[in-house]
Amino acid sequence: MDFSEWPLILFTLMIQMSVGTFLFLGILHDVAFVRLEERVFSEVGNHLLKLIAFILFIAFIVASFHLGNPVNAVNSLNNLESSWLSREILSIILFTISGGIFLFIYKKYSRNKKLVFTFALFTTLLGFIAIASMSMIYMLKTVPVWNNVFTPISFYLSALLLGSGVMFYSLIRIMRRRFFLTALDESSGEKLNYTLNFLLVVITFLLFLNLTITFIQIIFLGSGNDPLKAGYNLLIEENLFFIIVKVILLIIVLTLSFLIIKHYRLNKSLFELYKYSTLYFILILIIELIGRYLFYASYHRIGV
Amino acid sequence: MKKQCAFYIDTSRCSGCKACQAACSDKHDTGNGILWRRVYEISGGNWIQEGNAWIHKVYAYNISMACNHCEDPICVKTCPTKAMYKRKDGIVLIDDKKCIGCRYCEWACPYGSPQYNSDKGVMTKCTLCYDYIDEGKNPSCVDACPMRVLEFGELKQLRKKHGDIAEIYPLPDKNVTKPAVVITPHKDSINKSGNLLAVANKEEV
Repeated sequence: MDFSEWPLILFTLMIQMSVGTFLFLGILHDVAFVRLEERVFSEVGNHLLKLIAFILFIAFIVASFHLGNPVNAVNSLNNLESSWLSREILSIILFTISGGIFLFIYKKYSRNKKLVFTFALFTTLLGFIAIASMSMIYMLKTVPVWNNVFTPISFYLSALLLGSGVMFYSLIRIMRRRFFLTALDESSGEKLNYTLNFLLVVITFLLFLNLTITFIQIIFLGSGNDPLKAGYNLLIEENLFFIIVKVILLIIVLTLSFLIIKHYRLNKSLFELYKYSTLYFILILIIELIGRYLFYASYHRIGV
Repeated sequence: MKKQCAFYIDTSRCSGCKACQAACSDKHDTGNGILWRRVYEISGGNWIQEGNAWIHKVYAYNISMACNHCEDPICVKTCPTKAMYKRKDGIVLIDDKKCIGCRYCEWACPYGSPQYNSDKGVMTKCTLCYDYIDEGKNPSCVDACPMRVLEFGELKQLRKKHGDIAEIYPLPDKNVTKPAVVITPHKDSINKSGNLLAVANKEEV
């Protein structure tokens, strides 16, 4: 794989992380059984919305490193009729703008719940469209290794895993740093722990899915036609080390997740584990980075 | 049917001398490592033991390949900037004032035609020597070929003269991009699968 793909690895992951985080913010704001109390949400929400804006800003800068001639970058919207790359860029811009408007509405008109909810839903939808467009870029009929269902599955899975990971990590860190827990009564604390446990269960499920799909995809490529086998050979012959590292890390993080869930069952509290949250989150990031690296490393097109 | 400029390649006669490749690079000053026309050396097969003797069943042929200025060019479809465009005569060109150097066309093209110029930060590709064509001359690769393997003309005329084969190993199914190329296949390229043949000079092309 060419070194020039690293900006793309980071760009795609950052966009997916932003969309996923926005989705989980919405879930923790609006889904009844895991809903955060308003004062808790406003504490986390404000930070995360700013974080999403920052990640998107960095993502656009990183993407420009992939371009040979970034001065012409404005031309990238010229071919909306047939280029998924143009469509992807447009949908990410729309997601960013919509997110910005949402932030404004959330700050100025937070009492208008219907308006806030509608804009949150609209922004999430745009984020999902952006990921769909991103998948379509790679689903080229001349690149069978990418032109299959595993591309969108892995992109949406990354969004969900990174989103829930950011949410879990931020919630546990921000709450702890601001000594917020001391200000919470017992039932509020319990509710917060319950929500954190919900996020942990989601992350565990997604990690398990990631591990399963990694194996299914390798079997799919290995048992496919010549172009698929070529992608399989690139993965197995040149990148086996990274596949093994990814699988080992997935097993480690899954084990950690089960241990933390067990801890919650016994103690009904997760905050004392905040010391390990950074390591937990970094391991998830490394898994995703290796996964995306392997995606680009499997590139093989038909023809010459 | 609209006019479509095209190449004809007679792989049964190509000696792999690469004069076409050199003429193209020389005419366009394509730069280091950039080959708008490339000669792929395809070889395969093995020695088979028959009794006490070893009989050779090995194959080798060359394909001189540039941009095929496809009728349904995937590079034009995928290019986000519209820097890739098709002229009225079917020639696919790049407007480097629009190109952002994202290399998406390079990923998509099954003929390896768009090539990245890292000095300029933009994609480059075979222009079919449109300046020569506009003057009524042949592309430089065609006139440089000592074996008269290459021919330039209108796709319809070339098909009438040489048939309509446009795919031999390792080229892709012609329906993918509808390449404007007509090929006379080398005898060893017929009925051989990728298991028996491979590009022998990958590092070179």
